[in-house]
Amino acid sequence: MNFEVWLAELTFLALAKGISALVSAVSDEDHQAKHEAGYTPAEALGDLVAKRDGTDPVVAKVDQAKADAAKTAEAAPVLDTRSAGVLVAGGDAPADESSVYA
Amino acid sequence: MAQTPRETAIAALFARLVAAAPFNAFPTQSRRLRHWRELVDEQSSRAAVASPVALFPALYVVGARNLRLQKAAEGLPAAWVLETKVYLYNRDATPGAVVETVRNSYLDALEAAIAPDPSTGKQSLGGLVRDVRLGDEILTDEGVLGEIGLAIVPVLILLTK
Repeated sequence: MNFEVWLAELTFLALAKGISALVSAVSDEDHQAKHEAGYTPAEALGDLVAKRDGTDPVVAKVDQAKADAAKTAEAAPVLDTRSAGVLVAGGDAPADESSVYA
Repeated sequence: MAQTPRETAIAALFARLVAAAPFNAFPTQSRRLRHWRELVDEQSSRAAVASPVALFPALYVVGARNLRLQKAAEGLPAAWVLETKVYLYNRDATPGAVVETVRNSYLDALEAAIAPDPSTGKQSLGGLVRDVRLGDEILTDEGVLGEIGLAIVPVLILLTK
């Protein structure tokens, strides 16, 4: 099946399911790559739906990493040196620098 | 891309549906749409002059939108989808009758009549078109028409061969 017909079938299937925007959101080059990789139109559509739904393994991995990062940031204690009265490394600069460098 | 003429495609769809049970036993099968109220009126007027005729259930197939696939606008040859609408009417004047029950059986039969060929995964209407699919939403009367059951079913035909 040549690419034109393949793409027509893919778009048709998406149209029947009411998700044609999903197909038009992908570049022709990406569709072409799927075609050359031997995907059937139905498989290519299934792949697009999976990516949209976050069930694609790569997308799912990225989503998980983001969720983990957010959780870590939430759990990390916040050190407020001003309110705790702790001096930051290096200490306060002396009021009169000349006494230091004299 | 070669394309099947629209009229050939819709005529083939109509022929396929009216050959399938239970539609093959419908007293009304047509490509010229009539309002269900007209059928009720005609049935009533015929009965009044002692020449009763059954007009329900009824099946109509009409062409609706012609959809150019979006990607075709981006430098590829045009590929067209013909959206047809299948109208199904049924009627049961028995008090308390649930017309939806029969209507649901018609919808199942319609879906079966245009189901993809298991060996190809497509419905080509005997090799005339690339594929046929039900659209994504079927409209029904939702019970508001009383003794009349109504369904409007979008059927999409990919005309590219």
